[in-house]
Amino acid sequence: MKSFDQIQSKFKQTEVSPFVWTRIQSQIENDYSQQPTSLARWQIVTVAAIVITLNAWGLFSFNRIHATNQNSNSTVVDYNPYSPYSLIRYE
Amino acid sequence: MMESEQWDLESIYNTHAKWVYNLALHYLWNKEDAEEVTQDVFIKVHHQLSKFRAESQLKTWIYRITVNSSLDHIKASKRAKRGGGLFFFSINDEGAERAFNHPGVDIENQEDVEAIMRQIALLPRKQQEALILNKIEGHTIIETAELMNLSGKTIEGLITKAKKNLKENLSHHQDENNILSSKNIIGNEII
Repeated sequence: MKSFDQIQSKFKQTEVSPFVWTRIQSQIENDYSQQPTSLARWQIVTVAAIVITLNAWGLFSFNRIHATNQNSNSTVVDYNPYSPYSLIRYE
Repeated sequence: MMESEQWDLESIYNTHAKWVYNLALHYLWNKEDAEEVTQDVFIKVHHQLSKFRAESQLKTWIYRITVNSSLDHIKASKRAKRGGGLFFFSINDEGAERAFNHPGVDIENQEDVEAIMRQIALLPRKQQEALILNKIEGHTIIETAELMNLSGKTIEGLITKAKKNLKENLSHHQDENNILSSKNIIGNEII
């Protein structure tokens, strides 16, 4: 259409600077050098698994000790936030 | 980087870089930002290259990345100017504050073209895209529809609405000299 043909003619196609491709190449090289190796990934996964296991084990042990203490000291079973039956209070 | 990957990306870059850069220029209006977006686009292409083999699909995909990256770049630079706040702002706030320094526009036309581009930047996103592709980049309706992944009729509708909105925007700014002179470029069809 005539109207916008006029504005289109005001724009010239511009060439991209060759430095853009150079920068792309160096960024890709940089990304590769910073990527963790598959061995490093396995190490991260293993450490995370150990931490989660230790946490779960600690929580479980605490619950058991806490429940044992409560049973030996009193006939009243106190509120235990970790027990599925904790909302039931025995008097 | 593997040899074959480098070759692939390089051939894709050689085929598409020029239009990516020029499209980015129509959104960003300056060389530095358009180069930065071009770089980002091809880094993204490189990361997901294995997913795309068909040339037509690749072009549409690169087009989407270019438009999204350009709009993100505008948002980011606006946010940086505001001091790094995280609050939301509309892309339609754009036109008024950015400097216009398009390297593809001759100095004698800068003022007029700037006035039009500022008004185009205020249009809704799809209208803006359709107008830039069809009326500034010179793609046909079919090509524009393919790139925007819409039907030809939708594109025609978008362009009609865009022209109507542009006409309204320009008539709201009739007092301003630069807008008045920009009317000469758009011509009577819109006004």
